[in-house]
Amino acid sequence: MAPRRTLKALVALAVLSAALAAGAAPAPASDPDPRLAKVKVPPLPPGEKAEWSHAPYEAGDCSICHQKNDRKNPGPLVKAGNELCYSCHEEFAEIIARRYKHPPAAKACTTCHNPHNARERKLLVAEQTALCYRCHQDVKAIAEKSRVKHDALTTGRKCSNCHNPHAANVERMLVQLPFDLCVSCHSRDGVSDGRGGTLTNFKKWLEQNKVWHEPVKAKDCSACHKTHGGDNFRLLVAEYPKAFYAPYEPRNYALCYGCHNEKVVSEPETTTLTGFRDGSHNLHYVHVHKSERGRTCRACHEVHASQQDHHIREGVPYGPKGWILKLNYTKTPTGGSCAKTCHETKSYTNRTVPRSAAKR
Amino acid sequence: MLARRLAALAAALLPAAGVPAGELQPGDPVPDEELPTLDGGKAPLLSKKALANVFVFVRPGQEASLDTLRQMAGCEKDLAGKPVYWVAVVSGGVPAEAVRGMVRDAGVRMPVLVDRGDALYSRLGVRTHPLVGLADARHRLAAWHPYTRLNYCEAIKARIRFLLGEIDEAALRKVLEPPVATMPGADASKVGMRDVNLGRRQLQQRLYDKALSSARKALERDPGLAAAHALVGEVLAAQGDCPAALEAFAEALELDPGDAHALAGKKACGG
Repeated sequence: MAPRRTLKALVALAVLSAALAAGAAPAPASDPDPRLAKVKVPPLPPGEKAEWSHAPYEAGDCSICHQKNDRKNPGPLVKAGNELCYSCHEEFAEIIARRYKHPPAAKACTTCHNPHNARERKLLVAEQTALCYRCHQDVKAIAEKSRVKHDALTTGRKCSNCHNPHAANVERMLVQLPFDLCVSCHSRDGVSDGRGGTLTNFKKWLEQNKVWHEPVKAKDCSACHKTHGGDNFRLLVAEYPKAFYAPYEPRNYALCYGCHNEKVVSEPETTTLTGFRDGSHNLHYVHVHKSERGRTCRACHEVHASQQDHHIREGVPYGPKGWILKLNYTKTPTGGSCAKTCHETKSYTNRTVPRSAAKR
Repeated sequence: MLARRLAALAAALLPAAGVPAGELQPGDPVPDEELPTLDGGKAPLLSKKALANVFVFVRPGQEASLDTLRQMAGCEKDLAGKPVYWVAVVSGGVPAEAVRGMVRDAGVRMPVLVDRGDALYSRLGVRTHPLVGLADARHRLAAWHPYTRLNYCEAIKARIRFLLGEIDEAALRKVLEPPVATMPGADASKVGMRDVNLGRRQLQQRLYDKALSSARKALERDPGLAAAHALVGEVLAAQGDCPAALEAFAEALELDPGDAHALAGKKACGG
């Protein structure tokens, strides 16, 4: 090798080493969170194929961002920190003004993006999910170890399906309220859950059934469902009986008792806990509180939305083939009745008829 | 008048019809009463002086109730000094020691009312926990707000600030229905502006061909981007082609009559 070429190669190697060292160097020790350390992100080393390039770098215009137009020695930046990025990416003035900011984005765009070139889309310094998991180890553990997985983490835009990695108007950097996010995907017919079941088209279901359960009204699917992965079926946050019948055991109803008072089922007599009573005889107790074939909540209630008040369903899938068993529930001025299906027609009274109504 | 306004607002903000969380409806008068407190004293459900009354129904041994109290402790602190009256309400049937533990853990300052025999629960028709109710200065129910894991404190604070007259309905709605946090690349004209801004820097550095190329790239993304037409004009003017530049400025001004770059460029070209 000629001496001049050797010298050039040594210089190039020195520049590359310095760049790599700078790229890996954390911020000064005074930085409170090492994950938010400012990093210098050099271009990919010559051996690595870049799939994406930043326009000024691609055009060879180092001086758009640096003080010199010299690839080998571009010098300091013309503006400090994110302000330099925002001078072209002006839409970030609105984005970063949102209520909830992602600390790495607010601190330095270069925490996640290479301003020169990258192998990943959006000039990310690593594959998107892997990049998120560098900090969010807890989510990684849930996603990997949970028995029930959520496809939202591994399909489409992955983490960005639900989270805006820059800033958002909802806590946890959610792009929208949980309900709006969930329904944006769970709004198609015939989607399989991957385990032989079919997922409900919630857009259609909620349009057809106007009595919504409180968490649905509050647009908070996460009140009952985990989003990154879980151990209960349907990603439920707590235990809920899968079948029509179950022996009564309070912990099997942990999901419902997260909001509802378990006394609704455990007290044989009440005049305050529920309207489903004949006088003071608690009919929830009668149906559910059984040591063997207790009727579970799903036997009578549709948990997301129904046509009747109190989330009482029209019919319930019953038996191995899931044929629909009609409930035939009717609300009456003094209580309600269920016509013959599960049992002979029975009615209950929980209040007296107001005089004005009785006269009519 | 206010009651009708509250009822209309509550109806507008409820995404679906049906029985509300508590059976008392927005606009209905809330029956006031004095109840025993956890520390052995007595306190009313509502205040005669406050402009906003907040009652927080919780139950010990329930994760969501503890989270609610923690979030309300933050809200209480954020709104300290304002005419807001806060109380927590627990059923008289739950062990006092468990309630004390929950209150201590959450760090709330508000009095905790003990509803003996669940009489208040029954009167208000409250059957689930946690649940926050809000009433105005005239003791009319403004809203029931059931628990949400996210944005709970923000939503309650916004409802309170609405009752205090600090924000209007539009601002309240914006908190309860926050706008979508769009991704940076979602709007073609905003992406086009990146090219325009880059082109402007290239123009400053007299990289005319590159600046023109950036402006045209922006126009490919959004042909209606006035700033990109203006940049084309500026580059052409810098290259000494004022007739062509004036055409570009005219296109920019047709799209945005106030475009400052196009107006200045047109003037400089004698247009």
